[in-house]
Amino acid sequence: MLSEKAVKISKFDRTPLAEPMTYRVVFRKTGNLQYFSHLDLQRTWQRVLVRASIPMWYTLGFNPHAKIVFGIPLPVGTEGLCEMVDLRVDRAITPEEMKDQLNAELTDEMAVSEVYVPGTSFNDIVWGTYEIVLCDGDAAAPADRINALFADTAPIVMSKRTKSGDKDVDIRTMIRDLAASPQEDGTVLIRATLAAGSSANLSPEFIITAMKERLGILTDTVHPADCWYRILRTGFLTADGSVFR
Amino acid sequence: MNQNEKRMILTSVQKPGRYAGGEYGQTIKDKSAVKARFAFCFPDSYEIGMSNLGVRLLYHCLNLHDDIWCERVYDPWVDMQDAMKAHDLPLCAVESGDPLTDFDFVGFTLQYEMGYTNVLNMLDLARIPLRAADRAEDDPLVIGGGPCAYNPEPLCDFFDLFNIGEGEEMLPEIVRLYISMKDAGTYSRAAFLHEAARTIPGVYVPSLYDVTYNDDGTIRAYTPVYDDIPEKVTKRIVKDLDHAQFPELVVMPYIETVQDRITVEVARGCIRGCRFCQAGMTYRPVREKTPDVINCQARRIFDNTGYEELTLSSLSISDYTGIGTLTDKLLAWTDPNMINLSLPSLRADSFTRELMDKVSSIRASSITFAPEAGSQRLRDVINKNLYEEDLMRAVNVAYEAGKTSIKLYFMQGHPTETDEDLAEIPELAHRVVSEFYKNPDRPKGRQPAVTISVSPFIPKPFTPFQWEAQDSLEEMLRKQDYILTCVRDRKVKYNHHDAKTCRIEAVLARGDRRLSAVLEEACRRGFRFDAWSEFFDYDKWMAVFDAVGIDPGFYANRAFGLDEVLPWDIIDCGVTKAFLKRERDKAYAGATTPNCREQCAGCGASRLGGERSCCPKKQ
Repeated sequence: MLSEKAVKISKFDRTPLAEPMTYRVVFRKTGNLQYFSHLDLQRTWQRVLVRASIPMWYTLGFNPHAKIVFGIPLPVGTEGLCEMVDLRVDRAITPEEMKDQLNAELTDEMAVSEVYVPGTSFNDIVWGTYEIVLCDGDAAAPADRINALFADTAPIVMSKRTKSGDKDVDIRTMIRDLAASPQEDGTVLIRATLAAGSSANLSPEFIITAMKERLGILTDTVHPADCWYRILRTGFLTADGSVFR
Repeated sequence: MNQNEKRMILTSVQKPGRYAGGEYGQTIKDKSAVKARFAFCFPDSYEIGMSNLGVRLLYHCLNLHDDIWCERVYDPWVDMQDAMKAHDLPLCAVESGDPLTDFDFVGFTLQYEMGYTNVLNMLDLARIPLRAADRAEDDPLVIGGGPCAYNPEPLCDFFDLFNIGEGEEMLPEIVRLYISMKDAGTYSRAAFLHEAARTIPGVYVPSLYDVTYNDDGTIRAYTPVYDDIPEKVTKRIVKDLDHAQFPELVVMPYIETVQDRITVEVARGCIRGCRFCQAGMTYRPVREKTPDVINCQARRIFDNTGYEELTLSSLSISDYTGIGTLTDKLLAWTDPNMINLSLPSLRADSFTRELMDKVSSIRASSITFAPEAGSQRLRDVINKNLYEEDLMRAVNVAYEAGKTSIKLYFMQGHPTETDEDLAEIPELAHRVVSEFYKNPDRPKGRQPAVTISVSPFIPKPFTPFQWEAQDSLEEMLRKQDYILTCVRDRKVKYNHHDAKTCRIEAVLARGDRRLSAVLEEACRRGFRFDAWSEFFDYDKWMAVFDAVGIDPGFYANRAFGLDEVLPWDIIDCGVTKAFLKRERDKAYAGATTPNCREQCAGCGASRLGGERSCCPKKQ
């Protein structure tokens, strides 16, 4: 007993291209999806592309696989509005068709906002832009104290866990700008531009840790309803500060 | 719990994706617009529960009804349980995030005995009174079903109602009865349970049956407390699998689960009749789907999931009458879509080169067969109906196809077993290794590896061996050591299941109502995840048995009397006790019984009906 389902255009019914081409897909990863890792995301996309019948180009080796290149991984617990994946297709499909076929197979929390032919490489990304909202019931004037902490040009040396053990890094040099402002509902909004990409990358969690260690805020883990933060990555910038796309 | 609070808690535990929800394919309804809410609980981790075909099926069957909303619930891992405790949070359903106390029904699927402690652990986390007798009018109705419900007695005190048999039709009927009684204003907990037991076949309400005991501790009788409820509850089956409900939309996990693949059921039941096998008896009569239906369903699941592996589910896949036609139809679209076809539970005697070639695209380098016993004598006792020539032919097919790794499953502790039978296990494995070197078409330049995996025998209800005693713990351990001393081939690798776990499983499998006290005490002492070796603690179990004054040996190590009233005699699963006794006698005589297709053995299950079964039709 099978029900009727809207028929998508099968990839086999599309016209083969003389040369494979690459599309960039921009999607979000919000709400419940912030709890899934980058590995989970990669696995999910492999299945989404199959069920959306996207005409992926497959590598020609012994173990053929689709060519999928993701942008900068999003840490677990961070939402993203401008996540990117580059896909290589070998049959004709328009950006609009690709967006529609993908969105039919995705929940709203991972909806595709844009599909285009990219003129850049993910290696051109130098900065990520973030919005951090935090609430600490007991903290006095947290926005001013946060601004004071990050306005200082002195190094902010923190311990970073790497494959070769813990090492000290100065996160100061990886912050392009950071501004906190109090909100009407008592929360604080921080807008920050942090190093992102292959040469230098600063997880926004370091900003949180720095505030915990140096300002003593967000340290209450017993009352998560009163002391919390959330992080949203809104986009990327290139070296000259222009918007990456 | 608001989203900010949820974020802080979930980012503090391992694998927060287990608790996030938001999967593609989940069912969301307006809770104010439905008449009954059903929390479908899987008493183990998300990764295991999400892979379960039965849960998918019943989730779909319930959600087909506009006025019923079925949601999923899994047992939170221990770190999450600690976090819930620290923040005073109750167990919640995945879809809505609402606590289980908001639901009309809380249903548990009972897949394995060692999951029982998780059932109680989940009720406890949900803040639902453990004992059915302690629940108030507006507490959820706690119901259970699944393979272990064929002997639900150890869990009796905690459940309001059990589903006996296949739930696709029965479960929605139960919820519909609830809705109609609520609508009519005739609902009370007691009235509903009585009405369900009276009118819905397959419903077992344990509180409506009194049990009395003999002086020796065995059961004297089961007595229904009402005249109008059945004296024995007959299991439900879905008669026509082609027309049965089928979940074509799958809830897609984001995190990796134990079975991320397309699974399609091809048949229920098994024609073979191995005498230790509970599933082989309780799923009778054998019923098949037609190849076209299976093919369409598989294609639809592929379209809705994008999984790159397809597996056919059945107790014995090579016994499916349409296997050749089906695999041809499947390969016509799985190959161009680069989907691997895998076939589980292959019998060595029906494993052919043709079948092997169809599944050879799978990357797995090993292939598994289950001779179950080392000697022909003992294989006849258990009615395996497998000869050494069959196994050797099958392994040669595997070797010629380039496989070098063979896994062989065995059991120890079968009735009539001697040390000579056990010594035959590694000997048989050794001959499988030798076969490699005799084969001129073997993969060149490679070595064979044969793994023997031996599990202790656990007597299970509704099998010809249901009356048998399990070996004592000491004897199980001695046999494990003995088998090891018999392994003389370095290419044979030996491993075995944990005997202590198997003993507890035997107690729970053949237990009666008095074991509810054991489970309650185990819950009080914080038992959970006993199916996981890192949590199972035999000594703690023994301490619980001691504390409540129950001897586990009474259930595990005692041969039950042939005329004794068995705890599961309240259930009629289709096969008759007379048939089971005949099979037991034949086992002791070393005589085999032909499979259902060769000759009907008169097991009794055919009276339940069923389309495309191999049973002789009733006159």
